[in-house]
Amino acid sequence: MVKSSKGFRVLPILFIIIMILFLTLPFIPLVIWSLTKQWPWPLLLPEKWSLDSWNYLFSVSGRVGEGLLNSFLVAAITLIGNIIIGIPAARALAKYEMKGKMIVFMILLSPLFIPYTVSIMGMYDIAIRFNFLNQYVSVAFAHILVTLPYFVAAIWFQFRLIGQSLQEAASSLGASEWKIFLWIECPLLLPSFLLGSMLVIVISLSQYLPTWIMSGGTLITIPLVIFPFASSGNSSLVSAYSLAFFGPILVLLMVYYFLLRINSRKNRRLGVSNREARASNDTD
Amino acid sequence: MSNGWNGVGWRMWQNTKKFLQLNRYKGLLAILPALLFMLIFFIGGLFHSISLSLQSQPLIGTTDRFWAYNELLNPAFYRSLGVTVGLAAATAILSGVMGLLVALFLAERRRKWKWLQIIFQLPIGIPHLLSAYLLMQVLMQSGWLARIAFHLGLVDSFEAFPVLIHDDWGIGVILAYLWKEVPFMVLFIYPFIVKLIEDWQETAQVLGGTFSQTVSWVVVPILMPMWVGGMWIVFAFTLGSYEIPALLARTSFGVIPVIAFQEYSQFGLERQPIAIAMNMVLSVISFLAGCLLIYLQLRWYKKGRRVW
Repeated sequence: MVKSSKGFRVLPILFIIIMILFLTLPFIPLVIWSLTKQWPWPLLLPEKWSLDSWNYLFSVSGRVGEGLLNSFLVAAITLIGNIIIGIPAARALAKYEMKGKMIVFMILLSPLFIPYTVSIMGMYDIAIRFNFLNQYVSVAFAHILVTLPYFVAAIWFQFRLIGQSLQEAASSLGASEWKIFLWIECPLLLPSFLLGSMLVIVISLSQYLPTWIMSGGTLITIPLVIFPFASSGNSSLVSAYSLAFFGPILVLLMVYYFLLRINSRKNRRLGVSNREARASNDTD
Repeated sequence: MSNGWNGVGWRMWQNTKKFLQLNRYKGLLAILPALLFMLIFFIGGLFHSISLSLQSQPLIGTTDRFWAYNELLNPAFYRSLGVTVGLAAATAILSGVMGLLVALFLAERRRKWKWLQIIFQLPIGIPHLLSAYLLMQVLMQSGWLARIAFHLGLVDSFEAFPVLIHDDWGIGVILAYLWKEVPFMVLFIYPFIVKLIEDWQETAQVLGGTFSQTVSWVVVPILMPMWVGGMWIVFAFTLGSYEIPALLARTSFGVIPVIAFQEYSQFGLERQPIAIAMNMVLSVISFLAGCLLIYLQLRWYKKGRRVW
């Protein structure tokens, strides 16, 4: 094979640079737009800066507080639901062999592979017939439907990486199932648990259609606040809203990396064997 | 066990094969809540929707059970369907290829350039609605790129800058999807690639293989099911997604989730069966595409997993 030419080396780097620019450049005009009202063509930077959009955002009619509160309430319920039904399922799927396991797995992951809007329309109809569910809870149910596959997959993958050797050692020393779960599996599970929770929260925060359908358009979460502005084209306001939305997500991301770092440092100090250390580093 | 007969029966029952199996599968009970949730809400909701869409509607003077589906049998809807599936397929394939290339690049340099991974994880946290908006600000004829092009002397007025938003080919829509889905593909396959490389690199080096040979003969063939599965996820998601086409596509495209949501939310209760029917069509298409992929995969296994 002839591949000593320089093109082979430069091409991937060029590709990556273009990808990085593609991913990061759009943030610049967003920040600029949020700080100005007028930005005529073809100026690279506006001449007049103003904080009007931010003032509107935090005024009563801006509804940003209400939106954020609703979004996070729904996300929290969604995360709790995922933990309650997702972790046992992922654990059982990773540990036990049985006939038809693939089918069960496919059913759990099916919202990834088949558009779920139809199901949510059906769920809404069921929910209004049973009219006793709280609005937050019923929206969270729709969000669990959307996020459960990601959560189960992340936890399942980590259980497979952990393997069975430590659990078998513990159970031969007389530990009960619960003790094994609490003291062996939970700490090893932490990185992918953090990743899964992060994904669940982020996906739940960004849902537009499921939230709208499941609440009949009445539960005002952040995407529902932003959408009318985005389609009517008030650039300055939408940019401010978007940044107000990124703030909490960035904080979450930072918390995620912080916890991950604490976890891996603790592992290193305890001298966890190579295999487990790798298992916990793979997901970060 | 208070009386003797029951005790005997109980012990006999304990010895049967069934009991042993049940006992061994006790851990499997843990799957039930999640499985029931999906069966009731995802599949149950689906069938409930279907039954809603098959009700005859005396209000608008039709007794035909399939009226909602019959309304879809027209050239305009076929065209919308073609556009929607085309956009989804283009997004899936492009993000699959680009995501694989990026993941390989990151995996090869995972020790030196760890900070790169963070950049590629950035868009994961950003909703599709905002990614559409971000890309709109950049790609518009009066947007940021056009301004840069003007200052570089490439265009002299904003009309000279190519139309990328609400354009004839859906370029803006596809770019906005790629902005979200390439990082998703990277997140999805990167851990597997790293694991495969770590497991196989030594063997490959002993046998005298280079990194690219390891990739094409070991990593890609083993990764293939994951990679194709990831592209199917992107395809299914794009097929049913609303925000990006609603903001960036021409209205003449009639992207199905957008027109279905209009039917659902704006044209009154009696038009909702049509919205359900439209979304049903999308679900069926994604299901069929998945079956086709699984079939191709099985045939590929039989042929001995050859990539090239």
